Amino acid sequence: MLINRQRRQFERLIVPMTKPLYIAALRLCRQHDWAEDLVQDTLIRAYERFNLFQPGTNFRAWLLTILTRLYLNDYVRGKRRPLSISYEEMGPSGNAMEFAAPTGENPESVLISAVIEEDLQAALDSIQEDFTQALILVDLEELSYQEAAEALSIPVGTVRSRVSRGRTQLRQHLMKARDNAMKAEIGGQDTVEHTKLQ
Amino acid sequence: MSTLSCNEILDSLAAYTDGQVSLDERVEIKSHILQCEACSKAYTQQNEMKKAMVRLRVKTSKPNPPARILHEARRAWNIQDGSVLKRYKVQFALASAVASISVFGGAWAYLERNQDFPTAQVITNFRTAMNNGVSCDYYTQNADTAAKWISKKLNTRVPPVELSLSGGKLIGANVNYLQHLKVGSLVFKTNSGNVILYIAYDHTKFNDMLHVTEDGNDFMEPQHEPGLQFYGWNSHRIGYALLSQQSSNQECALDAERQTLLP
Repeated sequence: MLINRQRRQFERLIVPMTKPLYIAALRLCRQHDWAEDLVQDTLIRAYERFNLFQPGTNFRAWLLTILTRLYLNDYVRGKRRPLSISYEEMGPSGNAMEFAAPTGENPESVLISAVIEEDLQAALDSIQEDFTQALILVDLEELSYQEAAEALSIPVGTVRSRVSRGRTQLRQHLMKARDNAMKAEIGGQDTVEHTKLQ
Repeated sequence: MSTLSCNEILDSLAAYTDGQVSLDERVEIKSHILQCEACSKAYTQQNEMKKAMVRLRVKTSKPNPPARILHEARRAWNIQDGSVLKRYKVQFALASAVASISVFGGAWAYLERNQDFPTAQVITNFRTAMNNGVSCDYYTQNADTAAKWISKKLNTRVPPVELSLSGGKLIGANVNYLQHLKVGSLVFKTNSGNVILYIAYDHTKFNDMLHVTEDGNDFMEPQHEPGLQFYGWNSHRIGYALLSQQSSNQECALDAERQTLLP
């Protein structure tokens, strides 16, 4: 009877959390198979340890802590490494036009405002992994710095610096990518003009 | 200017942007940003990147997890429930076994207990008998018949005891309840007065009312009981006490003990 009651209580809490967990897993792993395994392991582990969960605390943060630790376990042991994933794979594609650049700002700000999610995701995949993990937990999963610190098993100060530096690296990466794209575009135009002259 | 260096400010900018710094820290960072152009620019950039990340969060919150994840998890939970149930069953079985052992062990210990001989009650009974005159429930001069009669009453095997060698003559037997305990007794007449041999099954320990005499470990004398001789011993889970008014009847006690020690 006790098992049934606990199971019902657990399912009532966990079922709505499956989607957020899956999204978080996809963000961390950037691989569908790995994300599915990770979520499944998280669900199993969470049920095993459900008696350790303190009612009244943040269940989502508790689950994300389990998920992050399982992910880090795989990552640290070198079992798996995250890959890049496109939005087509993750779901409906983004539209750069939805986020029109605000007027009257410097060109860099315009660029950041106009950046489409594919580029941002690509940049997130390219920066240092420690920074990516901190940014995913704080910016995308909306954990507090304290919760992220617990999930990653690091001090809060380290989370703060990783998020700050991560965002800086992200920005630098976006700028560099945009510069490269512009150079390529100019190079392409030159080639076209040169061909016309001939 | 604040006491924090630019590097320290830069590392705290994300937390500042996200509103996750203390009030003091917030004041300090704000004052630094107002005075430091480089950190002010970095703060603006942090804000922009934060906004970009929020857009990414909104955009990437669409995919639904495959149903098989929950399906597989439920299967695993069922297996876990089964093993937990099994563990509970094993624990229950173990607990039951322990409880049974405790109960039966306790009962066995109770049955096998080695209890105190009713010394005080026997002394009182003897004094009453001496004062009011000796009477018997079953008069017989035959030791075997008396032993059988007591054995039947006490539900145990009591050996026949006769004191012919020590000058005693059997008068009869009694079975009395002395403080809820059934105690048998054989009444003998000797030249120096009557002696009574009390027989109590499963009550073989003699308490500190008695002290061991120099004659032997099994023979004891009651303290603070003038004019009374008490000889106690045990054999085959039966406690015996021979009471007399004369110390000269120690010979009778030795005679009786010898007969009760026989296998």
